[in-house]
Amino acid sequence: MLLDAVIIVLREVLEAALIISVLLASNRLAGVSQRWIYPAVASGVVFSILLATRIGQISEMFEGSGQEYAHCFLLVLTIACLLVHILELLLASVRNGLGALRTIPLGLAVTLAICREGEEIFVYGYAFASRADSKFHIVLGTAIGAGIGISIGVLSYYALSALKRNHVAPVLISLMTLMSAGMAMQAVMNLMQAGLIESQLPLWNSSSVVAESSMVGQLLFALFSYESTPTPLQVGVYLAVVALVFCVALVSRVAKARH
Amino acid sequence: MKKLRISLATVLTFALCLLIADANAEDVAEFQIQIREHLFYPAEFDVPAGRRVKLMIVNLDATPEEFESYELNREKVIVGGAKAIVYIGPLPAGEYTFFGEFNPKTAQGKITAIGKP
Repeated sequence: MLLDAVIIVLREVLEAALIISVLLASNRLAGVSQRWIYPAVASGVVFSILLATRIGQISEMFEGSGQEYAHCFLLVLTIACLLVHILELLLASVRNGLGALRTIPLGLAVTLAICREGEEIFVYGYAFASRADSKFHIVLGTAIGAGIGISIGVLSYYALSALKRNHVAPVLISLMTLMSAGMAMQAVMNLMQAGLIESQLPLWNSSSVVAESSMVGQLLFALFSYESTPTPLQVGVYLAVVALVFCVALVSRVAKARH
Repeated sequence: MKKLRISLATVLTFALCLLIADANAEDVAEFQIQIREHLFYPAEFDVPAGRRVKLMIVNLDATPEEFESYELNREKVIVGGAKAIVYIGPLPAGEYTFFGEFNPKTAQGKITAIGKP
């Protein structure tokens, strides 16, 4: 029970912590105050509790696919926030400093990420911690899992901050792009699970190279939504997001060269 | 020569129509899984390969469970006493394990996709 709780909580917290560390590092680059993180985290926790307490009703909506549509909605909004931020970084000169208003997509992305990941923790914690026989293990497991996840997030924030100044922006933009592309793939998966999009036979199977259940697979999933058997549509949306950012980066570089 | 081309085109169009009709006519295979005392019933079953499958998962426990499968790329929380629908496939023939993430020691199962492809 203890180990189960650690794993469940760690998987969810790790995903959110990695997104937050990348966004904070990106904000640090702009030299704007980081104080927006507190209300963003707090509202994320509140929304995830609300979502967890209503998940039964939400699931019953849309002929039993409400949960998939809700997750898809949260994912698409997060992708939109990340893309807005990436485009700002690419199109505006970072050294000019981003205005305080520009932290809105960052804060919203943090809230949405915590909401999505926190929901499962609260559903699990609420159900099993209320039982006398499992309470201690769940509470301790949650603390350990969250502690490890947050520590990895903090470490990656300092690792990213320690990068050389001219390397930071490309690394952060690449990370955020791959995260967005991975989320787009997850959004498609949700629609296939709901039966809205016809699923397809997977394009390849890389589970013999990196299995999703392995440690590396889990870490790759937390970072980039790694899937060992993606369908052609999932690969398509992944490449589309990467291509979009790549094109904007190319255009902005050409525009800057002309000036 | 021209006649041959026309008849060839007709045959091809007809074949294409048949393919599309076949894709539309493809029905969804339906299966039910129950969760009782943190166990799946049935824990192992066969589904047709290459076809869409609709899983109806009924959680008879009072506690929630998360149906999860790495191989199937699926995860869904099912609250206590609720039903959930998860579409999977079309799958290549093979074995696909699934588990209940909230009770992974007991809630284990396996779907085997049989037949072509």
